[in-house]
Amino acid sequence: MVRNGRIRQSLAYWCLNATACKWDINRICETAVRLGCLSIELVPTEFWPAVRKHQLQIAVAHNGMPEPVFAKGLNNPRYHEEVIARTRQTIDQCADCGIPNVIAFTGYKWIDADDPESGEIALAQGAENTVKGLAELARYAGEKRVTVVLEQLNSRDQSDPMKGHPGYQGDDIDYCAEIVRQVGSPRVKLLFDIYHVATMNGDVIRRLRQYRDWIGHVHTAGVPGRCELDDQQEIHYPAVMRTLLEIGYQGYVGHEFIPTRDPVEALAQAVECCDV
Amino acid sequence: MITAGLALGQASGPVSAAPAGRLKQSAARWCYSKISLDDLCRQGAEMGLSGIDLVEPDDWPTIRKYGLVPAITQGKSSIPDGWNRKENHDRLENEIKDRITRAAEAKVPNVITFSGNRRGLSDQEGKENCILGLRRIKKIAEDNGVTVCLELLNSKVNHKDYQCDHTAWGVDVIKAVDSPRVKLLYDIYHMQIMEGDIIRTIRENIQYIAHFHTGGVPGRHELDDTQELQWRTVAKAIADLNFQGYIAHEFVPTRDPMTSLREAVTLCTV
Repeated sequence: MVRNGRIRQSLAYWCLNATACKWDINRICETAVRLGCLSIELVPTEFWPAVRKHQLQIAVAHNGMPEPVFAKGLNNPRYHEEVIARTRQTIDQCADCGIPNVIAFTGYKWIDADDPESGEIALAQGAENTVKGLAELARYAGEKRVTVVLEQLNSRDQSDPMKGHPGYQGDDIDYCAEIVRQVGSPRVKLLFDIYHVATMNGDVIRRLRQYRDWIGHVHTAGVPGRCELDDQQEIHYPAVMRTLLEIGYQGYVGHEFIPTRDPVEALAQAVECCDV
Repeated sequence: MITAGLALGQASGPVSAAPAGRLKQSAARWCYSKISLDDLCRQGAEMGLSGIDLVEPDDWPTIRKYGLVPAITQGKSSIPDGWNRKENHDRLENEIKDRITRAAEAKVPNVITFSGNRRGLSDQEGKENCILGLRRIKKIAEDNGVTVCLELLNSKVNHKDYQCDHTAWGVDVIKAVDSPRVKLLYDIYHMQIMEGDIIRTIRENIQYIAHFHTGGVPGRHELDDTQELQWRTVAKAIADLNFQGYIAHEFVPTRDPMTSLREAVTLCTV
């Protein structure tokens, strides 16, 4: 149960619905309210009213791309039209509902996202393409007062499609941060997923300080395994959360881990550990 | 009180103090330079240390006096000038042979060594040179039962341009050298700065690791509440792999040094 409330906490919908949990939206919302979380994120549009009914925010919206949402992204010109159109539509919906952020991805590095044999987009080219796409979205998002948050994902964990994403081009937080810096818009920021950063890059606290001006949203999960934030994993979350306070981070922290034991207990522990 | 008395009794004997928990812990001498070696060893033995790291032959008898092991020794090795350049090989071979012999005589288990800085050398070429160089000394290490530990260091903050700065690179070298007596020193502090994913990396590469170092990230201070790793979990993961070497604390204390060391030892007693 949240007591301090200096970190605004959120729960990722898919972790409690598309996993062994299979909770419906009301159960997720009720749990969030009971724990003192302020938001449910990455919620399908049809459930937005249900979330609002519980007086919860939706900290980040999906961009409307089909699953897996991170496959076809802005690194690839052949998907620009579709990603931008769907994201603009989501931005409209976000603006109507007062949702602050919409997610964005670089996408897979392959020329055809569905075919790993199709050749690769060079890293520098992928960055340049992503900057272009985000710059276009920034103009629209600015008018609607919505922020686009670019997520880095780990490509290292190959054990489970829910834990790692081999082939994702933006797997290096420094690469993604440089893209965001180049776009140079207050409406395009970094989604700093502590689990993915700790898995791919490490040096989490230094990087939070380094990118303090560019961080729009934060995710958590235990390393390795995308499990609970407990003593079975290697990241000392309270110190990381205190760093967020130190840098003046104003956004939400979304718990995005796959519970391996009683989810209510796991969420309560995560919430308490991040309530610094 | 009884436990403390027993620990002191052991410390005066010729064999090393039994480690508290499953891991043998050590402390780097240089982090406690303001404390006499006698004091460090006496208090270290009391708190459950098994060894002292990065110590020279003159200090070995003092360390032994308290039942501790000089866990790793450096000799003349220097971080920027190492095995990645062929022109260093003759010199390094002579130096390390001498050091291995002395270590063997005194039953010092490990000798540290370094890749050297890149100075424009490609990672591939540096790797090939390290393999060639370390192959030259593997037999003497094997014959003497001393392990040569190639250290992984961060090149981002502390050792700019150091070549052995990623586990995968170091593992390639160790695999190719192919000796039970040439392995990696996996410095957890340095590798959290360079690449993260500590527990998975240790699990996947434990057969190539002979020694560990600790240090809070990012500041290289205490393993406390202000830094980003859960050391107890990491220590458990290492102990669960039945690791038989030493895990040595190598952080710069910001508070009372011996209190900080004691806290680290307690934390890693698993």
